[in-house]
Amino acid sequence: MSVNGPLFYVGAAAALAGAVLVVTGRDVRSSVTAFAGFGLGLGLLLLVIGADLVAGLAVLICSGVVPAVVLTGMVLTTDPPGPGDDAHTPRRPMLSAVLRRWPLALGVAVGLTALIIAVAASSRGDWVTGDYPSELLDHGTTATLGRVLLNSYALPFIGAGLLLLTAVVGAMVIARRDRMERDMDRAERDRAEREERIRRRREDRIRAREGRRPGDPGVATALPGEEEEG
Amino acid sequence: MSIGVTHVVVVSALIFGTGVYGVLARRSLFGMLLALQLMLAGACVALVGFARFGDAAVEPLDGMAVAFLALLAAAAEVTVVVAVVLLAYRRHRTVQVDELDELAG
Repeated sequence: MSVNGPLFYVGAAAALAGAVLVVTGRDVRSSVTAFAGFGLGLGLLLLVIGADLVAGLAVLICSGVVPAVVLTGMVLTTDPPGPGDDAHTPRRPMLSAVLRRWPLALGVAVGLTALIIAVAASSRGDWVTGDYPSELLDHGTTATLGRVLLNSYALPFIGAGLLLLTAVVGAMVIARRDRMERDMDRAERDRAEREERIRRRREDRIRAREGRRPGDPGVATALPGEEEEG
Repeated sequence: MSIGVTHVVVVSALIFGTGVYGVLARRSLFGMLLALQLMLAGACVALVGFARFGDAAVEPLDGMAVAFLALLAAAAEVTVVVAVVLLAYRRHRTVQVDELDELAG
């Protein structure tokens, strides 16, 4: 069975466009969205080649697991607008950081890609290629790949399962707050609340001074809360 | 013109190179993680291509099996890296690698 040419090019174009959008996205959120699109393009590309099981796994991971985990991480690493924060302050645009470094990064990336293609082109004569059994590709590779995984690659397959389990447990252990971090967070929260109280008191005092008229009773006396600030 | 292993290798090299650019250009840890995933996906495409267009009589679908396991390892990698990023954020209040210079000396 030969590979469908137009579909291959569509899948390759979708995957490459997604990849380019991932690395040039203005912020991480748009990069994550582009990565999900990249996963779909990659899945189509692998499906056209004839790797249906790997294509399914690639879509599951690139369009499902990675965006979900990264978006969760982004939510947990974003400061909520606190009492002293200005919610309208624009964040530093990531695009500017990309633009500052792009010549070197582009040079290295193009050089490395050219090197890979050159090595592939120079060694192309030594490759042993052949026609794959048509019945395998017509009926999908899932059954055969399952047999290969559970026979030749049984140990790595079990190792991959253990790796996933270890990664999940390790991630929970790493992300858990220890006592020192909890104390630091509490101290930081207390400091922010104290600063907010002082700021509000100062604003009240200014408003009270602006609102009083000359000759009003209590002009010479201290305003409410003024003696507490010191 | 029929599609062959050369086409797949070129596409995989382009995806890999895009990932290299992203790792070098992005300064956010999350952006670098996504670019690393691109590099890994590029390698997986090459593995699948060689498995598909290689000699089936030698080792059937070995490259696809390795790509399958590599994608599983990528899922584990993402989980651990995001946990490490969370830890770094809690200590330094930033996910920009330029500001995480504690080990710079």
